[in-house]
Amino acid sequence: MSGGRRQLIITPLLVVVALGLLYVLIGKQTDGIAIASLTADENATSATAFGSKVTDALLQHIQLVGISAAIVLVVGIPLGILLTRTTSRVVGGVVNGIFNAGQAAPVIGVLVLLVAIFGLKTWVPYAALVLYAVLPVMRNTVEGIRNVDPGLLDAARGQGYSRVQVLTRVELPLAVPVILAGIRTALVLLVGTATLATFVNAGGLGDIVNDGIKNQRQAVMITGAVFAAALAVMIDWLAAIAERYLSPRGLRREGAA
Amino acid sequence: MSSTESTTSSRRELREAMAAGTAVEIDLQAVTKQFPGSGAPAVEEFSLTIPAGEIVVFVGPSGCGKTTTMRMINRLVRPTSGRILIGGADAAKMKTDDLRRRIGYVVQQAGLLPHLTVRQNIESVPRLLKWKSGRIDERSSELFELVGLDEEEFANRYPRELSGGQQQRVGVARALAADPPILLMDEPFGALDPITRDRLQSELLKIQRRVRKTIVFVTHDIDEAIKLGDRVVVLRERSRIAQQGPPDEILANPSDRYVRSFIGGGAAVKRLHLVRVEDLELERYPAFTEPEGYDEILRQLGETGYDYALLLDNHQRPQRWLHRDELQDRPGRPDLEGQAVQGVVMATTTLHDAMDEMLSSGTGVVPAVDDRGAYIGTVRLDQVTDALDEIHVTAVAEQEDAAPVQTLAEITGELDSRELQAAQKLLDDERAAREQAATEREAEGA
Repeated sequence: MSGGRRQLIITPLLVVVALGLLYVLIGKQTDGIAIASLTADENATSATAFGSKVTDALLQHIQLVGISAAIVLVVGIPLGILLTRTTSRVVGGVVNGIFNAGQAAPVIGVLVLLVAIFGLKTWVPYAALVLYAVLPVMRNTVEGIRNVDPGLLDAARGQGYSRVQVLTRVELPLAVPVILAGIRTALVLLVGTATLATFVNAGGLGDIVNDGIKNQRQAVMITGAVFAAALAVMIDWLAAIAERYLSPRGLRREGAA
Repeated sequence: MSSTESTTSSRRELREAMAAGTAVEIDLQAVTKQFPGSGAPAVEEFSLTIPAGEIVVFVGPSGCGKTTTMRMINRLVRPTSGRILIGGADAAKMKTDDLRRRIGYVVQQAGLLPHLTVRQNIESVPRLLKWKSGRIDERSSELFELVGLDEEEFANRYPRELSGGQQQRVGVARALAADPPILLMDEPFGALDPITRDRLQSELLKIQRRVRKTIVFVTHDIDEAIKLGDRVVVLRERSRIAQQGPPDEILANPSDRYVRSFIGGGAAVKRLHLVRVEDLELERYPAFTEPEGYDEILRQLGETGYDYALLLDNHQRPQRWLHRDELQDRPGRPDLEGQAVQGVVMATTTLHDAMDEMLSSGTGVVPAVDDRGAYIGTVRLDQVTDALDEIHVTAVAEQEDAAPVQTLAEITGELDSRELQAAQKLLDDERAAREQAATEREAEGA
C-alpha cells in the first residue's frame, strides 16, 4: 500500500503550498474593507490571510466541528449498537427514517426552522450539525457489526463469551474499520456544513466567506473558502491516519509491520 | 444419573467433575428440537449415552440434524424437550456461559478471532475464567507443544498469516485451553485439503491418548468417522439413529440399506482404517547410526538374514537404506550411499495410510517411528495385505449376506504393478542423481 502511504505525505504538503500561495496573494491587497474583514488590527496597512479575524473564525469552526463530532460519536455509535441488538424492523425503520430525513433535509432549512422555533440559542447550530452528521456514523456502526462473520460469533459464544463480551471483544473490534470510515465521512460533512452556522450567528469560517460576499471582496471570500477546504482536507487526513493505526492489527492488509 | 438429586448438589458435582478436567459421561435423553416455523422437528427424541473418555462420531448427510444435536450439548441450541445430563447433572440448570467455558468447541474453518494473535486466541477461555497469568503462560506453552506448533514462531502471529491446517491446530489448542472434560468438534477438518486433514486426524488421535476427553465429533465423511470414532453413530433425517456401535461392527454388519449405502463401496479397504501400525508385530531391520562399526552391522545382517540395514541420524530418525553389498564396500560416507528413506509412518498411523505411504514412496517397506520420529520398526506391504485378509475373513464370517467386498487379489494385484513401477522409477532417479554427482565431482577435481 505504498500509494496510500504516499498520499499521507502529499496531502499536508499540498495544504501547506495552498496556504502559502494564499498568504502571498492576500498580502498584496491594500483595500481597507478587505483588511478590516480579515483582521481586527486597526493599524494594519495591508491584508493578511492569517489575520486575527480569520484565526478566530478558524478556531470557532474547529470548535463547532469538534463538539458536534463528539456528540455524534456519543449518540451515533450506541444508537448503531442498539439497532443491531433489536430484531424489530419497526424500531430500526423509525430510527433510520428520522436520520435519513435529517440528512436529506438541507441543513440551512433545519437551522432556520430550529431558530424559528427555539430562537437564537447557542445549542441550535450544534443540534442541526449533529442531526446531519450522525447518520453515517450510526449506519456504519450497524454495517460494521452486521458484517462480522456469524461463524465467528458462534465460535465465540461456544467458547463461553457472554453477550456483552461478544459485543465488546468480538463485534466492536472487528467493526472498528467500518465505524472509523463512518466517522471520517461525518467529520468531512461537519467541516462543510459548519460554514452555514454563520447564518444563525454562530461564527466559523462561514463568517469570512459571508463578509466577502456581502462586501464584494473576492480576496476575503477566497480566504474563507480556502481555509474551510484546507481544514476539511486536514481533518480527512487525520482520520485516514487514525483509520490506519486504530484498526486492529490482525485485520490490516499489510504484513505485521 | 439419578434425577432425584437436588439441583444444588448436582450442580456442585458437575462443577467439580468439570473443573478437574477428567472426562465425564454425556447422557442425552429423548432430546427434541423443533425450530419455530418449520414443520418436522430438526431432532426427534434423540437418546444416546456418550461414555466418558471416548470419541463418539455423529455421521450423516448434511441437514440430518447431527450438528443441531451436538450444539444442544453446549446449549448453542436449546432443546425443545428432553434432558441432557453431563456427568449426571442437568446441563439446563447450569449457567450457560459457565457450561460453555468448560466444554471445548472446535468449528469448521477454526473460527479464530482475526484481531487477536494466536496466543491471545488460545488464552481466551482461561482469561474468561480469570486464571492467574502464570498459570495461563504455563498452559499455553503446554498447548503449543500438544498441537505441534512452535510457540516462538507462532504465538504472535495473526490467524490470517496461518495456513488452514495451522489455524485448525490453534482451534484445537483453544478448545483444550481450559482443560475441559468435553470437546465438541463440528466438522473441524472439513475444509482442509486431504493430506492436511489426514495428518490432523492422526494428531487428534495422538492428542486424545494424552488428554482422554469425551469427544463428540460431527462429520458427513464416513471414512473420517471410521478412522476417529471409538463409536460411530450413523444418523438419518431428524437425527434419528440408523445404527450405532464400534466402527468395525458397523462396517461388518450394516443394519439396513441406508447404512450400507452410506458406507459405500470398498468396505474392506475402509477397515484398514481400524488397524494401526502399532497393532502389528513390527519387524526390526538392523539399524545403525554412523559411528557404529560396519562389522557389527554386517554381523547383524548375517544373523537376521536381512539384506538391508537402516542408517539413523543422531536422533534415531531413519535416513537411508543400505544394502549388504554397499556396506561390505565400507563406504566412507554412508549418508551418501544407498537409498534415501522416502517416507515413514507413525505408530498411530492406520494401515490404510501406511499402505498409501508405501504406494507413494514406491517401496514395499516403510520404517515406523514414534512421536519424536525415532525408529521403532518397519512395516511391510505383505503385513498390510495379511491384515486385510484377516479383516476380509472375519467380515464374511460375521456377515451372512455380505455386501460384495473387493477381493484381496484385486487389491494386491493393483498394488504390485503400481509399486513396481514406482520402485523402478525411484531407482532410475537415484542412479541418475548419483551419476550426475560423480560427474560434478570429477569436473571439480579437474
